[in-house]
Amino acid sequence: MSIEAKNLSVTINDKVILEGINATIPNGKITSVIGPNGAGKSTLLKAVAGINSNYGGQVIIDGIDLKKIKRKELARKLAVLPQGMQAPPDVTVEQLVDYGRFPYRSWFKKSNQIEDEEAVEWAMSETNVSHLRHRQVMSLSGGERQRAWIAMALAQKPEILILDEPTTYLDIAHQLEVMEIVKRLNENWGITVVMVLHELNQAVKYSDYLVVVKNKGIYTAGAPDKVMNETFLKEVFGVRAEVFSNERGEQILTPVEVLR
Amino acid sequence: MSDNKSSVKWRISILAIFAILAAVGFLLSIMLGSVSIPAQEVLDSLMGNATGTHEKILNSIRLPRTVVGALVGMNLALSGAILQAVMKNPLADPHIIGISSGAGIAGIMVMLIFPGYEMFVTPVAFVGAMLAAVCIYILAWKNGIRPVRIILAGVAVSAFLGAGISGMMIFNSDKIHNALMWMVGGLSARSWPHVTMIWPYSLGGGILALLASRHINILQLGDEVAKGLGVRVELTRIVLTAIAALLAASAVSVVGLLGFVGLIVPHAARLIVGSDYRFLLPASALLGIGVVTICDTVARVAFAPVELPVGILMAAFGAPFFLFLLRREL
Repeated sequence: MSIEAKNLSVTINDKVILEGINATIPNGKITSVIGPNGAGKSTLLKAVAGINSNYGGQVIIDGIDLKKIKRKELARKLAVLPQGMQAPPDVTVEQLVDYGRFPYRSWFKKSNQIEDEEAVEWAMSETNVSHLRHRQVMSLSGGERQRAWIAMALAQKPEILILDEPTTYLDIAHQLEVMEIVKRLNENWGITVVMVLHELNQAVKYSDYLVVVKNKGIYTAGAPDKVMNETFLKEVFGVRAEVFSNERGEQILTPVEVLR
Repeated sequence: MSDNKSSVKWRISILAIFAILAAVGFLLSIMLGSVSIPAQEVLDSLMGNATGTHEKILNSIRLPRTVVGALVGMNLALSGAILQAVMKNPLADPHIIGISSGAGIAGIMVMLIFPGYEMFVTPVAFVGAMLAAVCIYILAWKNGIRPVRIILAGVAVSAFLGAGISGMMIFNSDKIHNALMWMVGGLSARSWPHVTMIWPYSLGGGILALLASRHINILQLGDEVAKGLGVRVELTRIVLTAIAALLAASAVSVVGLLGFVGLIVPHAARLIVGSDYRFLLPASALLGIGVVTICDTVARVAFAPVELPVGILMAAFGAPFFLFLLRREL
């Protein structure tokens, strides 16, 4: 499933947030959207995921205009996790993940219960939350909770998974755990992943493709080793940083100072 | 405790207990009063083969009043339960969307300014309630509906209409007794015409609410998650608010401004069965029936021959009980 934004612009409360965005998200890859705070990364994600349909231009998913796809049909192809999710205090992990089957249910036809159960079990095992199934979501630690929400999105059996800052507020171990889950989902199940990340080293390490948003538009897009360099960090983030390769050939960046 | 509460078995047993409570309340309300009627006779009469000496009391006084009470309890509880989820606010109840103030000003206007036309109180109050709800919705509309805007618009409109109510009562202070009784909410002298007025809304609203229970569950996860799962959030919110408004307006226009049920009963039910609306809606409805019928029975019997408006009794006993539940964090 490919995603394409054509001349996309978003205005919220008379303020232009994004203008003239043209971007193609590569199919079957992990793409990270990066850029400074307030650049419009989340706004871009919400438009592309169909959460905010108040935009100009077009979003094309698999050759079809997003606005012409029915909500439930879209939810069976594309799952999205926004930031700061809240569940009622008594909802358990299993119930939450089961809510991910909502797009497969309707008033008029009975859903396939075996399929639903299989999807829920699969989603929980992919995200290592099976053993937490009877725990209340709001009683979990930050990392466990994030994994439970990802499981809910996976129960939708999506071809595209969109995550808005999935690692923010997590400690380093839980950040890596979430990133490893994302990587496995992409490698084993061919799920296209699009996410907003703030941690640049993680973005470089786990992404196949970077989309850099700055000043309401796209600054550049491409493979991490093409995008990430000292000039880029200076121009986009206003930071002087050193970029070098470690012995595993991975790009590492170390910030030195703010240039302002 | 947590496992226990969310297990299907537990929730179904609670529903069964609430159903028994509702049935007991219903029967007691028919049996007890200035003349006590034995349970056997009541059951016979309900089955349609009445021969008892109290048939007339049963059929023309007790039964309709009890049915009105049950339907009112159910409607208000369902309305409150729906609104708490739709508005994402634990303080949301039929007052919030202007139902009470709208019905209040319209009903009291009839009673005070056009006395003698009291038979029109119910329909006029219904129209007033729906007008106030629509008005608040329009005021809160700006590129869609945000719950906070509805709540603030509701508070403002209610305050405005409240001023009108107070004004009318002050200028007509010689004849406010009926108006005062109506402001508190009571079931005295409610009969078959009132049943006719309210049951279609109970049936339709109840069925629609139950059908929407899975949508309400998803709405509780927040607008963005709900949209991501394929819910048309704006449309769902408008439809559910309309259902809640119809349920509450039909109840309030018949019995007056019975405030307590719509706020506390859904909360009490939620503390016991949890927030899954497939269980919470029927639990709220049953608990609403039980609470109103039992309270009305006590209100009639306890201080006989004086009859208290059921609203006073419900608030006096219900609020402490609710605080007890809250403290125990069941």
